[in-house]
Amino acid sequence: MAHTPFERIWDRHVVKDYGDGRSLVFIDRHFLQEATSGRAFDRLRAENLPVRRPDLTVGTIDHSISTLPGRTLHSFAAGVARNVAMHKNCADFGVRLFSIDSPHHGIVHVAGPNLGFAIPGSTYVCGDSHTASCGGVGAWAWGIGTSEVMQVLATQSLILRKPRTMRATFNGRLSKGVYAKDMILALIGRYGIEAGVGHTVQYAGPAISALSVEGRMTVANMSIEFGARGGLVGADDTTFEYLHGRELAPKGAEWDRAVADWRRLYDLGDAMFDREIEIDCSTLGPQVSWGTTPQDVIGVNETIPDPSSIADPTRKAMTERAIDYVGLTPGTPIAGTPIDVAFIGSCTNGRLSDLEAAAAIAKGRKVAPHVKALVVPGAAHVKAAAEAAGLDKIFIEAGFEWREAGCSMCVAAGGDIVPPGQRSMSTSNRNFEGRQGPGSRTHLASPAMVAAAAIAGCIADVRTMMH
Amino acid sequence: MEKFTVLTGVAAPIAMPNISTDLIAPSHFPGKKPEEAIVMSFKDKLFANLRYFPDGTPKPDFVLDSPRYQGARILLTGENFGCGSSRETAVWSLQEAGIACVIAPSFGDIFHDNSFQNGFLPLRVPADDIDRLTKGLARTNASELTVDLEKRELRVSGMAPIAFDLPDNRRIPLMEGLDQLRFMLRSADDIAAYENRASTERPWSFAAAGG
Ligand code: SF4
Repeated sequence: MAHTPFERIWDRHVVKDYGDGRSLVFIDRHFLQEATSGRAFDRLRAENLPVRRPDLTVGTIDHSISTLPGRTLHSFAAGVARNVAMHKNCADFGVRLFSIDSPHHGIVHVAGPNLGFAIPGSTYVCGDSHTASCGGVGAWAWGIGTSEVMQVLATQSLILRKPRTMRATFNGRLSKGVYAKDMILALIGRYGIEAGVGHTVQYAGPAISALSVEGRMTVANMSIEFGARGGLVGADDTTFEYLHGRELAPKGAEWDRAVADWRRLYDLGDAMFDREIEIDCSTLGPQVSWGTTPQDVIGVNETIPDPSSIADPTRKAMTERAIDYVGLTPGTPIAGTPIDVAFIGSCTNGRLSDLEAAAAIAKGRKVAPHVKALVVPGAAHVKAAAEAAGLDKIFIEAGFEWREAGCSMCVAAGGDIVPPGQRSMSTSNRNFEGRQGPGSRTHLASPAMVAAAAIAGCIADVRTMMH
Repeated sequence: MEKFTVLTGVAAPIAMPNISTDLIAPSHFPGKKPEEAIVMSFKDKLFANLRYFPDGTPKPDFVLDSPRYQGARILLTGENFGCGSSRETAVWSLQEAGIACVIAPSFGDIFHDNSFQNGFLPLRVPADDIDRLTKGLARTNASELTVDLEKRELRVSGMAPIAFDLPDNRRIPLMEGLDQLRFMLRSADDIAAYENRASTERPWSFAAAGG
């Protein structure tokens, strides 16, 4: 069986095979964030251990900060202790920190690729489940828990079991008004939230190749919602153009050697995957989630599922519970459902191309008077580029709030919370019960769809608002 | 880490699939401000959105609050328990509340790994067996279940034992209370040798953080 790119990456990172199905695997890149690293540093102190490779480790602060204009590390009271500890931990252990005053600051998974810290073929971890986003540049990237953060700090390695491989092929071409977010929502909707368990997914096919690196990151981001810890897109010329010259990317002759290596690494040849699935993008319309797991997805012109038509008792009960929680009526169209909150941001859809797509809808229009609408750039560089292009003015004139970078309403962080019972249309990745605040109801969709809902005041087909 | 060999305790059923780590260990608490919620114990926030209405009043029917399940050590639950966020607080919250083992047909990947890191057992058992156990427990007055790692079986009085699979590389560290960091540090020389070799083969992969 010919090796897949993932298996090649695995092979070159095994430090030691323990012979019981587990191996010690070397970690090339470790990005820390304040919410999951505190206890890891505490343990290092208690054990009197240094950070083994501060040169392969960087940090940022994204979850525990306010995103209000003029914010400081102290603006969001509940986050102060963590933010202050993060500064101290990074200073004490010699880790480079991109704090809120850095031009490289941002949500960890938006900042990493932008810095060129995430590179193809690398093993890349962070104490955060959406680390898989960095698979968009061809890094094998996955989220870890705090105990593992501590182990990587101490040993620059992790004990792992080799995941199986899966290829998800996206055929066809996206039509207008349909985006990377719709591709991954459709995949999860079709195959379910457990389909990826135990696998590293390779996203492939013409619709993936046609995506920008930013779109590829949106797809890879939601690998975890698909059940996989990591998912990657083969590095190609699009990737190399994106990475070339970035702050921490390889430079000069090393860059050329690296690119030659990455091309070989990602040559698919006749690679055989343990599982193959596919999805046709040419018939795909805008997607929106209706329930409380990311597989509860329908097209914007479809109707809320009717539990009485479901035979399987478990699925029936789940659907009933979800519909009750989100407060919708089975069998009715999802379009036209009034919303209270519109959130554009997060590591899924907080990049420049996402804000551009949303601004194209918002331009010259007004947010419905009953909707609270937020645009939260995923990183400082996104905010700067958007402002240089005048997107901030478009949003503000339309009635959106324009914020500083951070996680914000994705996880009800930094003081941005969806009040109980309110309905949010959100570009984030999770619609779990209580995710955007106790009692919050979340619908996941693309940035253009969220902008359309903010304007219409209800869930709406963005294609009717495009010229 | 504490050794985990034989555990006997009250087992509470939460018959719900896809309980995410957001639901297990919410970062918010219904009816409280974020700065109030962040200083609360993990134990008090456990399952808060299942346990309380959004305004903070307790729901009357949450299983862990019923007298029968006070002091529960084990949960019997649905598929995909612990899906979602990587937050290790999900494991710590369960542990703080006295729970040492969750039995489910399947688990979220990161939660599954995090559990073993903390000497906590996420035990995969087929849904049919969970159903039998739940019914068996409903018949007894004691509500007690035994998880026996030595014999790899689950026991409820009045029922034949139910065998389970748990690979030795998971079972033995739990039984010995072995800390993974200690184990990994024994490979420090291998790591150094790897670094030497790889930094020659792939120099662009090293010295990444810059100045
Ligand atoms: S934006 Fe949301 S999903 Fe992404 S890292 Fe922040 S909280 Fe997690």
